[in-house]
Amino acid sequence: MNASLWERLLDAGLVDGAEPQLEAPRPPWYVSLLLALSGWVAALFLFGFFGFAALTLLQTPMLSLIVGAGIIGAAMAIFRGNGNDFVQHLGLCASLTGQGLLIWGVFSLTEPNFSATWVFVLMLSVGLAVSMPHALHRTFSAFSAGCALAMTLTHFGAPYIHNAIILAAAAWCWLNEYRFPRWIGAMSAIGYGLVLALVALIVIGLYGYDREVARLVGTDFAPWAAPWHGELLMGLTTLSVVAVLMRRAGRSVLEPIGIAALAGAVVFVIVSLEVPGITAGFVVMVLGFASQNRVLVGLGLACLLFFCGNYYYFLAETLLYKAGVLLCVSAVLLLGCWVHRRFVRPAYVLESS
Amino acid sequence: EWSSFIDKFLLWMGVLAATLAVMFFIAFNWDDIGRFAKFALLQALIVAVVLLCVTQRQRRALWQAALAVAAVLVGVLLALFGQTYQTGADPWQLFATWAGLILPWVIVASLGPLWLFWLGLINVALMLYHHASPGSALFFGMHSEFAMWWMLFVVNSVALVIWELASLRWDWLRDRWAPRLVAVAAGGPITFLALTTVVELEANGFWRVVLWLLWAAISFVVYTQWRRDLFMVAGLFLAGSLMALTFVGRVILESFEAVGFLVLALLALGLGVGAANALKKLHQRWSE
Repeated sequence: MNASLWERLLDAGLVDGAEPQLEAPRPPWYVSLLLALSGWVAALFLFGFFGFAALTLLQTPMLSLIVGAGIIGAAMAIFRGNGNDFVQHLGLCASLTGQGLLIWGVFSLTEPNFSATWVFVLMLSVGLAVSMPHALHRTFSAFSAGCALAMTLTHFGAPYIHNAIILAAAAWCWLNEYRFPRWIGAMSAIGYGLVLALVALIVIGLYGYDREVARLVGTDFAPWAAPWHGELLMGLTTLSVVAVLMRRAGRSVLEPIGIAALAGAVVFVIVSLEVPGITAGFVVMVLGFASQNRVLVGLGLACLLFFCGNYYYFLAETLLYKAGVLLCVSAVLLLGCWVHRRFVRPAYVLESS
Repeated sequence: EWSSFIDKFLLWMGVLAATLAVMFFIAFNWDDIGRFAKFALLQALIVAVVLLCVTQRQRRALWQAALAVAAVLVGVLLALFGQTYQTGADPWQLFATWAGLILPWVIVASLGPLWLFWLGLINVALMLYHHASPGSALFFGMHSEFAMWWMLFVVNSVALVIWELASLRWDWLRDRWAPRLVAVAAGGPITFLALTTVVELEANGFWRVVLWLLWAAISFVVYTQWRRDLFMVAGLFLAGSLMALTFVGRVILESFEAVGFLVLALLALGLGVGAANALKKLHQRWSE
């Protein structure tokens, strides 16, 4: 800022104090990426060195636990120190290694009974998502927490309800993003992690890998949750999100517009029974628009497009049946568009005038 | 705002669902559709898209997008032709013919992404041609697997030079993301060729490293003095770091001792921080 402008602002009483110094221009994203890559490569070589030098670490579970916890503590200190991108990514790699050692220690101590391990992994991921002061780490930990929740619930006999819980948690983060000022960055980082976990788990379910995951996880519990429990919870989460957004827009769900909005949400929930993933994509897109977050809107749109396209490979029904379903959905959506333009939008215009 | 969002969402999702319904219906009946009907369907679609382009000349984005879609559909038509009439043609001929047929449209469209797509077709055609006819005159008579990489380096480097010079004349070529992609397509092969020499430590491949150094030096001068582009300089630093790490790693890790990893870690640290600091200083100087 040039001196005369600052003086004019001072004279007008709009600012006070000394003229602020110009910050150095922030380097472009690819410079940060170069630093991040260097950090990861250096960290991997460093841990290769430690791996060679300290093989006994992996052979002693208690030592693995202690060293893992110590490395995570060191990573937290690095993040709190606010170093450059290189140091931050070194800390990220260190934290991941510490978590690996910690989980390996718990795994070795509790085998062959893994109930405690899955609960521990879930609690560790949630704890790190909340406590680690680094956006990318929070996103990664939230993603791990989502996956850990799926594995924990699968282990305890409820493999169908994790998607709804993750969607509800993600919706809570995005709907309350600005409610706690000190946590604005943390809420969005955790929100992204949960959304990515949700998408990954839906894709895993679509391609049938959830059965492989269930076999990997192992369980001693009889299944107590049915697929419709998960669909019902997804539906309730969707309706809750729509109801909260209606309330924030100053509308009651009992008004005609509120009923229409809920009816539209119910249509998406019903369609999602045929075309898996549609509800999740719709909710993510709506949350993105409510937060004015283009990345989230884009992610929701990409999910919708992907899951719609993937419907082609849903082999339980013929292409003719699927074409019929899509035609009916199209008719309902275009009818909804006509109703909105003919009745709802004019009512908005009348009300605001 | 919500009203506009809901309106657009319902409209576009409705149109998408209808489009998918039509595609699924055609796919269901594809085997029962006769060969002439299949060709008629695709050709009618191309004609419709080109008509849209011709009638919407006043809306630049729309007619450019329509021409781009038509260019892609030509490839689909050629694929259908190859599938229906099993002439024994090689796959490279499909891509080469595709690139040749759409060239007039690519020139007319004046659209950077479409030129990039066209260059991609040329690259794929060359790779497939090398696979079908190794040792041909097009690949300098070389029989080795390196011939393809040399050809890709030459073609993409020439394309990059033409692009940078043409961008001085035409505004629509001035977006930097496209020449950056072409530069990656040129720098990738030459760096790969130099890395193979370093990994195998072969003396008679030393000239590949010399050529890589020459290419890096010329690119550095061009992108710091004439056409300032920090991305290109960052890419050069990345390629240089890769070469240095590979060379040192190749020498040190032969004995596979723990201290070798420590040396490599320190080298990666030094190269990364050094490159980033140099780039930040350059960025600051160019911003002033």
